[in-house]
Amino acid sequence: MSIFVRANDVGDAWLRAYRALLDARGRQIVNLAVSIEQPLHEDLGVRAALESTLADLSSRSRGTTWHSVHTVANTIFPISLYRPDQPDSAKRFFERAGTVSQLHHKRRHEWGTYIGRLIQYDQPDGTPVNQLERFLTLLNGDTNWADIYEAPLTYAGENSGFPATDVAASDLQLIGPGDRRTRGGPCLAHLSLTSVDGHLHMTALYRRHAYLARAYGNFLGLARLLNFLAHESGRQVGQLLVVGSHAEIEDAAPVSVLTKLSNDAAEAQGAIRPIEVATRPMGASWRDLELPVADVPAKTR
Amino acid sequence: MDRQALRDLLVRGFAECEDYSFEQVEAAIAAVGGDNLFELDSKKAEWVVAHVEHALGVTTPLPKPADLQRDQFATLGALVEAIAHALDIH
Repeated sequence: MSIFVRANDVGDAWLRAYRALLDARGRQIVNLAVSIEQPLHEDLGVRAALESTLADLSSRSRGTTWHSVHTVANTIFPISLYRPDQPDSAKRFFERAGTVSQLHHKRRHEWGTYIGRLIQYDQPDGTPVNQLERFLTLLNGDTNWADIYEAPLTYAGENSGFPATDVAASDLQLIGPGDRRTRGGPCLAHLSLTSVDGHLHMTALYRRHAYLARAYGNFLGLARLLNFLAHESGRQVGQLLVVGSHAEIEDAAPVSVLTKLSNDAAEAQGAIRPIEVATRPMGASWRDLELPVADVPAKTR
Repeated sequence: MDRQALRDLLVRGFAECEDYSFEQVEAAIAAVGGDNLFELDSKKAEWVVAHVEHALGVTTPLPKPADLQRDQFATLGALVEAIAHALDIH
């Protein structure tokens, strides 16, 4: 059962997909495709409703950690490490993100973060490749670069041999053939980028996509990443398509809570704002991007 | 290493991450009211922790934001406290 959801902004996309999942048998859909026409915009009303629910679940659950939308988005593109106003802004971003990625590499039992896999993806011979840097090199190189067109599921930078066209694409791997993790590992498997008429578009494939804990943050992180690649290659941001080969609403809350979230988010919808794509000024507060403090009833305090 | 030296090391790490000078960061800290009001998000805190690990050559990984409660890394003052505790610096 495949479902296609077309949405305007990140918040609209999350809510439409969430409601489709809520109506689906078992609250899961095989091949849920969500198209976001304006990925540089989100709905702060929808986001606030979701984070309020997550904060409430966080205050009541033991052993389950719920993260803010910003924290989830950071695993794909950490905006606080990106200063587009700087010379060599992409190079500096890669340096900073690489340093942070090393912090995860030194820890046992950690697979790292998506941004770590994008900029330091281990090839079969063990040498890391910066897939984002390679893609920017392609985009910023000769305009007739269809000869370096990449095919899905190849290693970053390998040629596909497709004939020259005015459409270009590339694929970025996040899960390799040898990765056999089930849960707790990476769920974003593949990114595909396409440049047409000065716009850069992205397709993301999730092998499993959790809509309560992850999807809004993932949409936001992917939109930030798409903006980065478009900005650093002098292109406009195009569409974002996110496909979950197995999308679900987790069994982490009663149906009444899940339904209330749907209603609350729909009621709050309409606060559409541009997403943040870069770091805030030095000394600025970041506190508003964390989960709010839950309003826990007095008898449970 | 004493606590002040550790604190200055974190500030230098933050300055390096931001591409500002040590003095510029100190001015920004003063402008918001001190170390306990100077906020970091988790990724910038991760970068600072990595900087300290590298600078001190510590063999045992320091706690990173995912290992800490939010209020243990949300500000420069809190992160200094968490790292000082891990390194047994008083």
